[in-house]
Amino acid sequence: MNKLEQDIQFAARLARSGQEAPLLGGRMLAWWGGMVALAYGLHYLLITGRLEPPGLPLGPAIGILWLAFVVIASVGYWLLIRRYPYHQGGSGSAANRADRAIWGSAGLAIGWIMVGALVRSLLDGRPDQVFAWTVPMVFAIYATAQLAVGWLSNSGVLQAAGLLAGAVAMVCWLLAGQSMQFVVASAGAALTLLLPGVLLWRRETDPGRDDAP
Amino acid sequence: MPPEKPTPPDDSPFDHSSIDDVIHGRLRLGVMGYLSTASPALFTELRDKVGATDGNLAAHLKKLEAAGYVFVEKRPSTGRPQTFIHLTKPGRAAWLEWLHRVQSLIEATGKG
Repeated sequence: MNKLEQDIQFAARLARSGQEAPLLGGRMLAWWGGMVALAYGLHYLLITGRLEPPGLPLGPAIGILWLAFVVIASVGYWLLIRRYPYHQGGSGSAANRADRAIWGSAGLAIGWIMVGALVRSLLDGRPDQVFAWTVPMVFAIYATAQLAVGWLSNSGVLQAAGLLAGAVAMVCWLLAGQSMQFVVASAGAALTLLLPGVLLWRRETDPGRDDAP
Repeated sequence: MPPEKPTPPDDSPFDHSSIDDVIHGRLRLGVMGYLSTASPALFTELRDKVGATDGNLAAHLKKLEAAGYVFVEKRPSTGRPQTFIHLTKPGRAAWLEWLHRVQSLIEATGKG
């Protein structure tokens, strides 16, 4: 093998290592998944009376729950972004850039849905019903984002999470208005966001781990 | 007086003088190869990937930057500022052109 061929192989090996760099958004996915699962779980406990904050009616209690969710989840997310693992390498890979762009867009879409639902619920005076509609919409967005990133990065875990999130979205439409919807949503967030997030996070530090079936 | 660059014979299917000298070098090839699939990359990430020292990589990056193939960005961070290396559009075009030229060379050699 001559020197030119060796140099080309060297460059090709490096190009492949960039292309196959692990996804670095695992900790963000795990954080949001954990927070969403917890919030839906607490929402279920509040509306079924299993959790009764002393001296606080149901409406304000739910409002405080979701306000606390937005504040805590956003602050945690901001801290995680500041500690984005650039040092792991591969942050500029197509899959990682797509991951950030897709989830950034998905976050905006969820925000627009939630703001719309808030305005509608204020106009209608039926926050419970409007809020119930947002759950399947949000899971449909999770499904789209997970499938898109999963296909781009060839991650079987994310593709499976996306399909499951789609199934959760359908079930949540069927259960809309029933308290059980929030149990399904809580479990769905744990399985479609938290679990794949933890798996991706582990793979960051051990790229040899093959979590893609 | 420096020797004149040899010109290819009229029947040669390949002109080796058309290969981009800025890219053509093991370390700069490695940098361009890695950035072609992972841009931007941290300076330290690139250094570890190509197996160079800080000084050596910085010197090669200066040549690539002077040619407009990469640009260096310093971002403020919680600790030391982070240095990111971006592949530019002309850099990507030059990389693809280099690949095309080398492919021509290999084909020409194979025919010879």
